[in-house]
Amino acid sequence: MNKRYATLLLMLVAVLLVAPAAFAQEAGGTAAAKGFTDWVSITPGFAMAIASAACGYAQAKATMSACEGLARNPGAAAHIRFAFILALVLIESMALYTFAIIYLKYLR
Amino acid sequence: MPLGHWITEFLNQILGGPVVALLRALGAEPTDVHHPIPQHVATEILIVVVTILFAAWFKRRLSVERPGGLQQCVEALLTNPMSVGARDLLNDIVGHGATRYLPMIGTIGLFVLLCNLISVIPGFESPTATASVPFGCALTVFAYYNFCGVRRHNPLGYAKHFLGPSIFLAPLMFPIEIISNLARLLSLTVRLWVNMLVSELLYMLFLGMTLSVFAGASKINVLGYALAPIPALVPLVFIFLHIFVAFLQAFVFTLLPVIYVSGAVAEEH
Repeated sequence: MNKRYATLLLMLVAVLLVAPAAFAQEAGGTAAAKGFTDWVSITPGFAMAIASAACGYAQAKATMSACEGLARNPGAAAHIRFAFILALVLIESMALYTFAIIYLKYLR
Repeated sequence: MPLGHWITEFLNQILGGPVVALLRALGAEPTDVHHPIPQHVATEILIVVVTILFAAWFKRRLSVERPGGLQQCVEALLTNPMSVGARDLLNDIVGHGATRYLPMIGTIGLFVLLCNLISVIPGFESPTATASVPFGCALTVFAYYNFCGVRRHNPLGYAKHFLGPSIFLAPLMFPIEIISNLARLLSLTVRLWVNMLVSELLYMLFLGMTLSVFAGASKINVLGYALAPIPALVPLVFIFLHIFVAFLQAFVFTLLPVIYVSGAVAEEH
């Protein structure tokens, strides 16, 4: 009986933890009737996917150059690592600007 | 243990009356008269008060000849073997006379770091996950580096920085420079805010998902035992990511103002 109560409590905790995220996912606006595609609800997904793909490509290029530089010149590891981390953070922030717009327009 | 809520309640009970009076004197009507202090402001006040008390206590235990462990940990914020401390960045990027910028840059960096990290404690939300807090920090940085530039060169000399290398390019360069300076404000804000928001959200999402998996599977006893490590271990990865992002964003929020200050006080050759 104790394990049952523990399981139920864990399920309640899980639902309470996930619930705010689930509410945040509802897109605003009602779907139009008569067979029109509700583009408003799926545009954030497309936008974020494109932004993340571009960010992934750019970070891959940065990583490639950093690894080549490290292989050629292991003595400069500290400087290369610094520039590498900085570049990754700045590129990451570009993808996150898209998330900011999605959050401000669709997830409020 | 909603620690953040308790702090907010406590501060609202103590300071609620004066804060409402101050808001009304400034012409703004508080949305909730019994809780005029929002949670992120209460958490910020807690961070500032705890840091000041810690610094006041710690000042007496500082020693040059025999630094203890805590002193070395705190000094790592200034000078680092990886040269990512505040003073290292200033010396590398600004050059001579860099120490005069250390108080402001160090305070902003430390404040952002502690605001980011407080969300690791269960019950607290990081104030930097609210849009207005990173905006305030970015405004401070913007005002500070422009003030440094104006103080170093006179206002006219500082405006010459915006005109570009040659006088013929000035009509083109001036709007571009103004817009790029304002874009620095935007990028500082959005980078810090969205990074903290997203990493916290990811952590909570994966915590909830793994717990649901466990709760669903525990109907079948053996499967429940077998899958029990999942909600214990998978959120570890995401809280590690959250801590890493917290440090990294605080570092970037220190490094970028140093770069902006160095650009503002640069000498023309």
